[in-house]
Amino acid sequence: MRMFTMAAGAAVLSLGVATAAGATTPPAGTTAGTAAAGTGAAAAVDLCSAAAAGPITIVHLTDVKGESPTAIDDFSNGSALAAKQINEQCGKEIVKVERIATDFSAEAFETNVLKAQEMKPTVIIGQGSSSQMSKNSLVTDGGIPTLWPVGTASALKGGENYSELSWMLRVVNDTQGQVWGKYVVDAGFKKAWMECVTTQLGVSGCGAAEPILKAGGVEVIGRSDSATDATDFTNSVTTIKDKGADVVVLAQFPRPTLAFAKAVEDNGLAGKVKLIGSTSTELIYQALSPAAQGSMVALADCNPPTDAPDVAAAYQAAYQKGMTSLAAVTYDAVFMTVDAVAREGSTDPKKVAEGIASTHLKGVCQTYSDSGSHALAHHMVVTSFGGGKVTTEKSYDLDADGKALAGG
Amino acid sequence: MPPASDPALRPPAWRQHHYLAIGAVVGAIALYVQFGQYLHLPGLFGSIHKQSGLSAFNEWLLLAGLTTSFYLVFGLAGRFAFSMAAFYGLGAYVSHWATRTSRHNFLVGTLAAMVIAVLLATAFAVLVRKAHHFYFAVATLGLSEVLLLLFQRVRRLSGKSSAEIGNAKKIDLFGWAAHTRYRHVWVILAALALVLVVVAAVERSALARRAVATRDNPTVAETLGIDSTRPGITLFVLGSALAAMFGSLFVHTRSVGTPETFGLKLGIAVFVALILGGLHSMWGGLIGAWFYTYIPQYLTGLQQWTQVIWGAVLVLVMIVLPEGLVGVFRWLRHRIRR
Amino acid sequence: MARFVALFLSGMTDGVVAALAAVGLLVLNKATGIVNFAHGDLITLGAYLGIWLINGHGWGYVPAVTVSLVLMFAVGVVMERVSLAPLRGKSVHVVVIATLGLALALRSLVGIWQGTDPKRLESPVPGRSTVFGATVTHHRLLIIAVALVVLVAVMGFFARTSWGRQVRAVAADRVMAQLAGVRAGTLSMAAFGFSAALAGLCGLLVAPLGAIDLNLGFGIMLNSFAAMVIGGSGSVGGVVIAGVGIGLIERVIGGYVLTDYSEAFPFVVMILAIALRPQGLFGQREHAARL
Repeated sequence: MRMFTMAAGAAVLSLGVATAAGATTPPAGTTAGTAAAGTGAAAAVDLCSAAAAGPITIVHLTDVKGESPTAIDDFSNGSALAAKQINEQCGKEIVKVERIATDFSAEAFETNVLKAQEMKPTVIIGQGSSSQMSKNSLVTDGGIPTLWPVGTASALKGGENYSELSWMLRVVNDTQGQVWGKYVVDAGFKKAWMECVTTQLGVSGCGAAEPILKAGGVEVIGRSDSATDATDFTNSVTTIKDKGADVVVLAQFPRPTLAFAKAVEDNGLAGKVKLIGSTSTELIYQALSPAAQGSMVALADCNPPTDAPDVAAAYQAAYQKGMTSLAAVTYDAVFMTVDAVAREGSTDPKKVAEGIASTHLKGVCQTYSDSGSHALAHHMVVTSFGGGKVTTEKSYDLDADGKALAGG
Repeated sequence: MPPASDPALRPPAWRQHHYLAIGAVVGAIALYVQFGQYLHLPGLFGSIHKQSGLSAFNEWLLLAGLTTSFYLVFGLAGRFAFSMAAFYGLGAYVSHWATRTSRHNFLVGTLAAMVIAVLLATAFAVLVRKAHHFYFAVATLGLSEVLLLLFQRVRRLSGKSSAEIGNAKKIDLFGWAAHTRYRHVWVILAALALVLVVVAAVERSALARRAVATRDNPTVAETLGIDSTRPGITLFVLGSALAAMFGSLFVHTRSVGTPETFGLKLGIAVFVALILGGLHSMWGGLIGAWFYTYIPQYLTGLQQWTQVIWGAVLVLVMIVLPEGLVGVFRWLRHRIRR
Repeated sequence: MARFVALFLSGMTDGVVAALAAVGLLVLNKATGIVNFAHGDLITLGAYLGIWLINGHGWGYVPAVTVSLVLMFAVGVVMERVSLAPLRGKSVHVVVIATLGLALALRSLVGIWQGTDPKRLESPVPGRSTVFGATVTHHRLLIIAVALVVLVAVMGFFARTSWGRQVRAVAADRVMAQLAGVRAGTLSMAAFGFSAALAGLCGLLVAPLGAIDLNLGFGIMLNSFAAMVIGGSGSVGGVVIAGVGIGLIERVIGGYVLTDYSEAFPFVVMILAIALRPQGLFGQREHAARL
């Protein structure tokens, strides 16, 4: 089986020889039949061999700086670091990341996706906004494999925004909802309040938590569906206080998350009610008071400082800030591309797409693979923020389709 | 061009020959699209031999149509409305709703969108008929916010669990399938030509004279027996209906849309485009929309400074050309005549 | 009862903040005829100045707020000089575009200066009390108190000082006022500075309620437009009543019925108010001389 693995504790990058060594003991679950399509049996592929297939260009649609409150640098830093490390390890430039600055709004996005495709890259890394999934028909027409650092259920196979050339690098929203529910049940909470958010893509995964909560014997005392720009949560917090909830599924992001946590704290509920935030809460938790940080946990795709300390340290050294899961997924996307080219021995989009479909990459965030649904992520963590750092509290495995908790 | 006996009394030639001018401009755009395809002309409109260039070009034409519709409301009637973007969105959502499950053509959807827009705009305009200036503007701001909330929450419009429109019906016109970006240009350009003709017809009508009289001096207009509210209402309704038409074109050419697309940002963009182009010319929308679509594209390389520079550009254009970019053409014509 | 008190207080806070922002807009509008779309971003800037001095440099609240307000005044004056003075006498639309341009530039500059991650500012009065079972944070009381004192002071200022009379004169009849010796340039600069300082105060007051990011001021500005219009841009008192009314309707009524649509309430009320009283509920016809 051909694979690339990043052995923790080895050099910063486990490329070439180190990779081959790591691959002799493949991690559990690397038995996906699709990966056997290659020629070599158990030999890991040397990423640097990808150079033989020609130059690899990745176009990364990067958010214009200053447009969104968060996540701007993380996505672009991740892909930049990965390309730098690969090129340094191989001693020559084998992968190049080009950037197209894209506005966070959807209007000009079509033009930008087309521009990216016209550059004829090996792979496109999309922008981290789910609202752009509806543009997946462009991806099909353009013929360039595209990796999205988001998770949107409608873009999985069978969904209305599905494209055979698009893959989701992160756990999809409904599955996040299930993880929310499972964690609340597992942690033994009794009374839950659901603070959901209505985005243009519908009510975030929040809804998927509810059946799991009920099945697990957790009483749902109420639910509010607030707007993405809500600023005042007096109504919700008063209800939480009246009915004595001990946990809140907090699907909001970003400023409303902070306003909600502040309202909880102001009402003397810090420490009495646990808030379970959405993914990306890791980007903003530092704007919470220490007490509020203590009463918050949140979902994330991974926690790089724990999952891949070497890469996280290199990131910290390069950008003077902690590596988030968002940076990790675009970092992994670059490796996944080079890995696919190396295994297929070609930069032809069709071949690369086959390479991604048969990927079995142990990246920073997780081991990526596609069982056919085009969900590459099968793992989620719940993190806490005590003491000003992100700590993994619990991790959850998802089923092969990336659509549900394994066995739940 | 015949020499004018008294230039001060005679309207300029381009105003006398409105329809000819429209034919010339639309024809020039059509020629550019036709031959730019093959000649790979670089220039002011991006690289339209590429799909990305065509996509931006269509974006320009749509914004130009929307802004020219706004010219009726704001330029002629002097009524500032934030609601153009919301009516554009209304057009998109209604047309999608009308066509998504039925066999109806996009024309039926467009018609439905315009009818609903006329009804809503009339009801609203009559309700706030006494409001002027800032009051009217803020009332339309309120209308936009309410409409956006409805797009967001009324799931029947998008036909699914989210507010996002996906896979809107493609455009088919009597057997001609306009499924490519290149063909979209012709459809949108035709709509733009239609709006320009409507504007030209309105400019020549008594309606425009009454509207302008009311805009410039309501008290005098009323003394002269002009009903001071009707021209404003008529033009507001007309402009809103045309906005809905372009909204319908937007959704059937792009096939997707979200409430955010039709938010305040676009409402302000329409305003900025019209003022940048020139508030007192029917061509202002076309030119302003070009500036608004293409200039920021050249600035994105500046990364986080993009918005700072764009903001500064807006201030600067206003200082240098308070009459808008149309002023450049006027100045040129003036120079040529000398 | 506890719920009502909590909702009432949150509505009051939102209301006085909207009123404070609206009065800043109103002063500027009366003195210069301009509607400043950069007002929301000035509110945001005020909050960031507070963060910069208090969190970044460890200043006390009183000096930090004082210096922030002085800086905000200066920012207002500079804005007037670089972009609006060259447009004096030009159509009001042209000036509005210039303020939109300034708003974009200002927001991005703040982002470049302070970063785009959300920030936090502690309240100077962190305690809380319980009233009828509802938790009342002292910061909300502080907001209401400060806002009311400032609003009363502004009203007094316009009623009694020569500067206030000049503004009222300009508002009533610009040309006549200038003929009578009112110096429009100075007045315009002062009004910009004053309005920006009020915006800054707004930002400083609301910052500790939640978190601060670049969008902080925009929503407040929209509410303040509503307050200004419903109040009738003739009177500070009317604007205050309107602002508080909007806040209470959104929070208190929205807390009990149609909760998921409560954001639309202020706008529906506003449209109805404009329909019934096109000059605003408390406005007078056209040239309102009162401020």
